[in-house]
Amino acid sequence: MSGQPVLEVEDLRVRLRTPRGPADVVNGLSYTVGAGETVAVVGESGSGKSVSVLALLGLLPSGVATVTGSARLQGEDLLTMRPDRLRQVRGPGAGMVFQDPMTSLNPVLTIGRQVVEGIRAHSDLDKAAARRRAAELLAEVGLPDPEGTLDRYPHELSGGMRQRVIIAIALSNSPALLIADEATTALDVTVQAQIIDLVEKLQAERGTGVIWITHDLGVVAGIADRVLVMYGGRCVEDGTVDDVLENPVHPYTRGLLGALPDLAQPAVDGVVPDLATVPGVPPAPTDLPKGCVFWPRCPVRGDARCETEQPPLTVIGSADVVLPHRAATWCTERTFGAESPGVGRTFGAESPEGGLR
Amino acid sequence: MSGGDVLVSARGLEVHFPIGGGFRRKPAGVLRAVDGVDLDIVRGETLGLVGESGCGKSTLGNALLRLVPTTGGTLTFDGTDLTGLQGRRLKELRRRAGMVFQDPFASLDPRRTVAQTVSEPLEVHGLRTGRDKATRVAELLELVGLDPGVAGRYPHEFSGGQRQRVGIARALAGEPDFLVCDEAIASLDVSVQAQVLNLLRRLQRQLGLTLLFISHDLSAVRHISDRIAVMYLGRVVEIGPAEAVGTDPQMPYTQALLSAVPLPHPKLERERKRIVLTGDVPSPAAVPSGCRFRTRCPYVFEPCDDVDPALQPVGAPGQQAACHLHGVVGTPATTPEGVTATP
Repeated sequence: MSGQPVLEVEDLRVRLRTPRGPADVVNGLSYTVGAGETVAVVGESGSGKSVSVLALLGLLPSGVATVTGSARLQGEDLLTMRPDRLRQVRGPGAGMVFQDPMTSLNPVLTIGRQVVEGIRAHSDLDKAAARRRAAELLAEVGLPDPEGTLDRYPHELSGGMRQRVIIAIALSNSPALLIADEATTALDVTVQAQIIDLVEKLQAERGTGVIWITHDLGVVAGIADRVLVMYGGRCVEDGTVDDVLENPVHPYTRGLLGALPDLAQPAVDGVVPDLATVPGVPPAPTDLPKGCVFWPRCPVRGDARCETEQPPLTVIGSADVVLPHRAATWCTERTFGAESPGVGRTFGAESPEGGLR
Repeated sequence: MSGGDVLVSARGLEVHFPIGGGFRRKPAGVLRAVDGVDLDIVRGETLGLVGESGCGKSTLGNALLRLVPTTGGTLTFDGTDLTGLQGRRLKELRRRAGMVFQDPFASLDPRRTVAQTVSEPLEVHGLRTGRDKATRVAELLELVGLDPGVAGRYPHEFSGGQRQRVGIARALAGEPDFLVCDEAIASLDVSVQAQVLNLLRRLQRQLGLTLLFISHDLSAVRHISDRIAVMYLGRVVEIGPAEAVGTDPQMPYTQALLSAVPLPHPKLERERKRIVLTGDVPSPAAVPSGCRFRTRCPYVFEPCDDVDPALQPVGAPGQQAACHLHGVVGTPATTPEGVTATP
């Protein structure tokens, strides 16, 4: 799955100026995305997952946001890039699909104009050729009647069709990296399945690296090679999708998985158990706790360092693998033994509820 | 579940909206938001209502509470016909049937304190006055897991989950028998969703409530419901015990819907076969003839064009599906003029 990395992010930090003081929204994020690889970034609202990718493409307002660290897209650092070069890179380098298909298209321009704009910005194609290319792209993303769709306005299309148009625009310059920010959240599950199939197919054909930002762990299980769990602007756990979802280590990841109603196994001995919950609310980025970002809500806190020292991402289990499983918590050895099966989310496990209550 | 004590009952319920009309202009068409729903909700049960956006599930929930006018069919609540209800008796329905809304940011008045919001039903229905009222508000807040000390605060001081608790407290103030939760957890984060789901389950048991839980989230519906009803294009197309509908669905649409829900188990997800439906849901202003699912159904065959399938018992006891695969049962399609198309 992984080849030479398309994107290497190192120690990415984003600080936003807000009326309530500086907000540390992203606090030292490092990861790589290989060609043809899908990295899922998961977390709840306010965890910094969207801001972290907006920062990569220079889409945050410059007067408000301070971005530090490095993010090399095919070797070139995006964060120190001149604005005109960044414009060239958006498109052929990295395409982005935003969450809301209802608002990310311009309502007063036809679909054709919006697709053609992206194509002509990065090629010498004349109008007619760009239009032909646009129709090809719409056909490629599975829109019926691509020629006719070019002349229609966004309001004439359904949510799923609009999201296909946006994917077509994002893919129009064959980017090395595709960033999907909650791309299917606003869609129904049957349409979501269509869009996920589409992205997987296009990715397999072109070897695109994909960053998929979502809060839906079900979607993650289906598409991701690697998972990065964010909380309070930090990566608190990462590893292969199997490691993170089947054997979660960080108390937050375990809490998140335990809080999901499980369609595959809703009842135990005929009784539907209560869901595990994570007490409290996520910290405000203007007022992050000292020490471990999760400790005020952590059900297993107790290590002396929890409240004072930020735990580093530490390898769990074997380090001699391509993608080591890492977690940032002081509580690993103390609370969960090495053979711990996670919160029982391994499908078919004996007990579906673990210690998190 | 037939034979149970039915609290809410709909027969052939229709909510049609005129579209495109205006002053001195005839409507250009009819939007069939709810189009012939038969549904019984049994006292003390949690009925989950699922379907995709635009299928009419919210309109049905509103119609059951008389929040939108019905255009056809019958509707009873605890034996009383609701369709013509007015005045004092409609007000009594408002007390006995409550609603929890989707967006806890929009459904609370930002200028009223929690106490004012929660006590409004008490005042409207004349249930408590003076000190009793404050005591009752404190009781209600405690019931939904809030500190009674927050009664004097305003909505902006609360998180989404806490606001939803306030909304639930308000809905419970009149001591209702029946509660409609319309996408009550949709705008909340996963960990907060779990808190609200647990709360609703506890309240349902504790107060013996009858709950209609409307959601597009099948996992949540499967978790909370005793029975599940599946809606497609204004019609209930499958209904039955949650276990049966969740594990052995009989209607191809339910099968596709369930298979499309992503599960948080990587190994299972890789092996699972997904039924990917083609195309989009047809517009409720142009409902297909015969079976309304036929334009997207992978098993479509001859009678589907001509006969509108009725719910028929299939699978587990209490399970019903509207599908010709289980035998052709239903009414022949009619042309728009109301003439039978096929003899």
